[in-house]
Amino acid sequence: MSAIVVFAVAGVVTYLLRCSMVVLGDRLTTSAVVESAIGLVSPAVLTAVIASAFFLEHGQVVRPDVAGVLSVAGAVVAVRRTSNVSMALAVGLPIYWLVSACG
Amino acid sequence: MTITAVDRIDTAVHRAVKDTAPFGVALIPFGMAVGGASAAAGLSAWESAFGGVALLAGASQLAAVDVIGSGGGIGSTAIVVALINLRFVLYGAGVARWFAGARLVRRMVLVVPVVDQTFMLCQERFDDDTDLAWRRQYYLTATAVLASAFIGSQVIAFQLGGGLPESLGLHLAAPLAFAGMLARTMTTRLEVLAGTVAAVIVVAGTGVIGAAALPLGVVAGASGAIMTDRRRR
Repeated sequence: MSAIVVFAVAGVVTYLLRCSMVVLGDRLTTSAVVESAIGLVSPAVLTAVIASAFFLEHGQVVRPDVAGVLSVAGAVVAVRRTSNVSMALAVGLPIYWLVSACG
Repeated sequence: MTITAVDRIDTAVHRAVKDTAPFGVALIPFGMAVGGASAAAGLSAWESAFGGVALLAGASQLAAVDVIGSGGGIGSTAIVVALINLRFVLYGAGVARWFAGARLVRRMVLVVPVVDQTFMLCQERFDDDTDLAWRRQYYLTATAVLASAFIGSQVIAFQLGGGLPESLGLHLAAPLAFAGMLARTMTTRLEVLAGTVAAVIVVAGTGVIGAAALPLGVVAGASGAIMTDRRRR
């Protein structure tokens, strides 16, 4: 499947989400429960994507790459301390290079 | 002295550039991560740029690149993207409110580029004193600044990424960028619980139920966290 088609479908899905409240307006009411559920979806997806990047290979559970895990841990600490998301790459990648070079 | 319409639009453009510039700068490394990940996933420059324009949403583009790179199909990519972008439903409500005076067709166009940064900025800026033309100019200028920083940095990173060795760790661009986003936004115990449950289900369940483990894990994580919160109250 061409990546263009995949992105096009993903783009349509994203547009429908963006547009839903504009078109449906007051007919689509959001309760507090729905709003908090939506707020919890993003952290759940991102954590799951990170976990699968480290613990899965071709659908099978594998032992994670130590350098990669340490780089993510370092990135989390750096962003927590600075509140700057850009620090994730600025700190994480050098940790990966350093640990890979040592290992 | 009277303020003309042109002066007001100038103010909107000026204000939007000033407000958005720090966000634009912060987006550059993120755009570089997406460009690097696209190169590492074997996408062409055209495919990568198309993904940026089609989605106009960095986190979901990065996740889509990740899924495509690992051989995922159209269904799994669409599900991942829909889950990550679910918050746009709420942002769409913001656009509907800010541009309530505009025709429906125009609102349906204006909602296309709404992202975290524009939503946050506009929520703060659009008080009762700002009229429709001022809001539209502010919103479109902010969008232009953010989109050019993000897509421009993607293209540059893509060009660099294609010629860089694997040891540079570009395959970590997506998890690192996501970890950075989580470190900034995951502040409550409920979010940590939702994330942990989703991660465990995805890792344990993918070998058994395949790509369905992700939506299942996310729904279980979010609903588990909500139930825990309700029980505590």
